[in-house]
Amino acid sequence: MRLRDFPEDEVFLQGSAACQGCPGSAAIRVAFKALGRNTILAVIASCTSVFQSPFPLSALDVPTLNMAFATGGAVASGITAAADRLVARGDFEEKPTILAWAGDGGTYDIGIQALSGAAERNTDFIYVCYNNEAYSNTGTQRSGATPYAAWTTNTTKGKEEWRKDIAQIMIAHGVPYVATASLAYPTDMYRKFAKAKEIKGTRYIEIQAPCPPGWKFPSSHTIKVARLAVQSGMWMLFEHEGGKTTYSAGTQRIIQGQSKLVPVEDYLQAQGRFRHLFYPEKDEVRIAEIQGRISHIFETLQFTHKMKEHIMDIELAPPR
Amino acid sequence: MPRRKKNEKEEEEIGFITTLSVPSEGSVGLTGSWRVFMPLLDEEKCNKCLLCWIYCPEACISKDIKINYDYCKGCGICAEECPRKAVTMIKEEKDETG
Repeated sequence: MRLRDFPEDEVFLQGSAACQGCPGSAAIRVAFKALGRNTILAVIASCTSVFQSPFPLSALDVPTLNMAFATGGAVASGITAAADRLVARGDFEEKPTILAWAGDGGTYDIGIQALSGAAERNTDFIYVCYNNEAYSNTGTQRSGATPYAAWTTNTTKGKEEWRKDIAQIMIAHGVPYVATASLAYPTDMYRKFAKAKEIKGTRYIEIQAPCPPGWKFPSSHTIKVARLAVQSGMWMLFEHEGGKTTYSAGTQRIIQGQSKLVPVEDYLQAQGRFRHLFYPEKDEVRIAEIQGRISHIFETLQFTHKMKEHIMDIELAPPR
Repeated sequence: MPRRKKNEKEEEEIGFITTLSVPSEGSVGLTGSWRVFMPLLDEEKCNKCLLCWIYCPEACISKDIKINYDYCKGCGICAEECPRKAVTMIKEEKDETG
């Protein structure tokens, strides 16, 4: 799918309340281009609840429900049950796609039990987490998705823990489709959404969303930071289907040796939230720690790729 | 503040009050007034690669590359991402009312 083949139809209407350079609205545009208008959207409390604008107007031109933080999976299960009944009764000609749209707070921390329940029941819906790695809506508090050493309002010297890998948690649920996407690779994101639309069961897609006010970079750098994240290995693009993980776009190119891993320093330096690693003096220890972890993951993956090419078709467990 | 019903006539005037929102462009007004820098497209340099169209977070650039200045917030992603540097950001001159 090339950019010129993307549908022109806009579900996200201009003049919304989103910040300048908002990654959430950029992600929602690409998602709806792939999913089409026959979609019911459940928005879990996040920036999306805010930027779709105050009552009585809305910037989203699809049926939208705004829900509390902890209810992502539960609400989607309810809508799916109702939609199934309406299709059976003949009120709906075609079953709409049910899309639950949550931020990282509503997925990693508060919403995980409802999501886990829905995934265990294999409810037929798409769950999207647009991950801006903090509670940016309420002024950048730390969340389970905040990476190591990042500044937030309650980790002023940098977070001491590593982020949890929720994509692996979803894979462990045995759902039919798990994928990660990046704003800088819209064709890859479109393909993943179009693929998810055709699959039945719980599908989980996670989009990294670099947030200009939360991550402290100029609003024009949203896409640039998203691209650097993939190129430096801080964000990995993959899809997991039928027990097999395949890497895509930028990540695949690094694994296959077509492009080189960008030093993680470039990614960290592009954002103000890692400023304490460079100023007043450079924190070599923590930068080396982050770089070491990424290099280890990619060395394993590159080794697996070479083994596959040369010896036999073996599948090693993906690294955490 | 909740309004107390006085008689049937008033109830008719108020009608149904629901919490349904109506989809509309410009739901928080003309967001073009947020802008400090304004994108300018050089049509000779543009080869219609559509990257600015898909990257624009506000859906302000149409598929035939026309920028809607009523709603453009001036984030500068189009200028940053344009591979041929056909979009430039210039400081906008505004009157006192903004």
